[in-house]
Amino acid sequence: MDSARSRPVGVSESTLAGQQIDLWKVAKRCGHAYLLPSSGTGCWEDVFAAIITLNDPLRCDPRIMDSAVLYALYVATVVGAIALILIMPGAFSTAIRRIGGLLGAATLGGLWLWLGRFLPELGTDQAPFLYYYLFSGIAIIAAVRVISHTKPVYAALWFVMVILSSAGLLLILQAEFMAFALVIIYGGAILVTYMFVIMLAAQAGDASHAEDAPEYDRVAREPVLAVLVGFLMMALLLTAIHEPAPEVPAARGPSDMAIKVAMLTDRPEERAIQRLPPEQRELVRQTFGQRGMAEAFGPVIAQIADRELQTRELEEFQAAIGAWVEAQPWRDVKPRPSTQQLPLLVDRLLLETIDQQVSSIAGRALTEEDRRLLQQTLANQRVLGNVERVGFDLFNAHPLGLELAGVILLVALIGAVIMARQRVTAADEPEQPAIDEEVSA
Amino acid sequence: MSTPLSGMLLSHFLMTGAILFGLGLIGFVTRRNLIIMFLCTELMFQGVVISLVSLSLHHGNFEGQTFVIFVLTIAAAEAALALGLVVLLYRGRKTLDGTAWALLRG
Repeated sequence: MDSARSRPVGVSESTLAGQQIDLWKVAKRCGHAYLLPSSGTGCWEDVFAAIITLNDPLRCDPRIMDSAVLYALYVATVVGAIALILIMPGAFSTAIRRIGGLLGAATLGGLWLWLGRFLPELGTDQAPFLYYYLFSGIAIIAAVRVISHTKPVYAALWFVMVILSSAGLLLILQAEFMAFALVIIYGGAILVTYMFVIMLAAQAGDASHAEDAPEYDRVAREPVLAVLVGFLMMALLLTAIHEPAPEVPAARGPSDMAIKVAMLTDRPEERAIQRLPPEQRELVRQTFGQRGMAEAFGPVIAQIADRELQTRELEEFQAAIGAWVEAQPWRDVKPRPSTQQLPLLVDRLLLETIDQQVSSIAGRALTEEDRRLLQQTLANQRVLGNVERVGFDLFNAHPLGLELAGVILLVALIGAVIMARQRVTAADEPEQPAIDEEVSA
Repeated sequence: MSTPLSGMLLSHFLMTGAILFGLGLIGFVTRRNLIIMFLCTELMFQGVVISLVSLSLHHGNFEGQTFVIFVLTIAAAEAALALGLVVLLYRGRKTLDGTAWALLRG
């Protein structure tokens, strides 16, 4: 704390960045709500602002970060591993595999109940958790069926189930575009390809009896060892994810770090370096500057002015908005708004400009009703959906990656064509049946 | 759009991702059917996708979701090539058994 107080005015950025990263870890550990869709990696100032404006002190919930969760996870991992060994095909009879399935389902249900126990204590919105438990449970059960089913067709169908439920998970995460892309690309394109190959390469035989499945489908290879290794890795991952953080000072109320940061940001020379990240600025410009505010507001303005508008008036309106965006009046607001407040602030400031413009067009002062109408229009205009944001990030930040992805797809296409043209003769079969007829049959 | 993803919910999603990845790994190692082995790699991709998207929401930027697009690209390329390979191998040996091709085992 003392070092912060005696910090010289021209202190290097790297010192500050180090503290910011520490603070970021603190915030992350404590699960503090910090999110603005457009905030990039470079805006540590936003983390500052967000944490300082939070009313409650940096405080981890000891009930949640309890190591009991970890032990429950270990128990579930061990029981789940035993269940999966029983379920894997080949080693045990059908009845025992069913028992394994019940054991696995009971483990999953028990784990979910154990984790759900904490929900009332969280005091936050519980709906995401409930949907999470539903979709995640379906995904895990379907994944177990994928790796344990003896028939490839059914395994592929269960995999579709995994896709659908993880698309549900992505919807909870507000990643609508990814959810639908997953269903279309995976559930549609890729799985259909798998079905075709299964059809082309399937063994003849009655599919209604498990005994008719070929031996390599019925008997798994070293299931015990594989399950042990796999669940060991899973336990390690779960430990890393759920590990309580005893080293975080924030566990005892407001940390020294937070106080330090609060002092830092109170200094005027610190405020000077707090600025809007470039991509956020660009986003605001995109939203307000180029998306035709005149078109969006035209009908509303005409309604308020109660007459037909001339093109010149609309052009002037658009120009005024554009000038406002270029001027970026929200940059100079003190104290700096938090990341969640910023969009609201931008709206409020922009509305002042819009009100001014519209009242000059209408030739009278605006009523409350007019203002509400304008606010509504602006709110409709402002919202960038998930698809737009992903596209924005993709084409702005990763153009090279996009090109490379295209090249990879092209190479894969060429490779697949070359591979399909190969004529293969079985080396260890003296009498070679006509391959083409058999494949097409 | 600006609903936060708390650390608690984040660890839940990462847990699902880890479990799906682990199950895919187990399946890839134990199953002998080539097609199911490749299905299991797709299962591992699913785990990664869920982790990427949840971290993306947690950190409040869209890098993670953008990377899912690349994951999908790789998955599509992999499916095309791997399944072509499977058909090729099946033509050669008339079996989908992966162990039938274990020539280098010694």
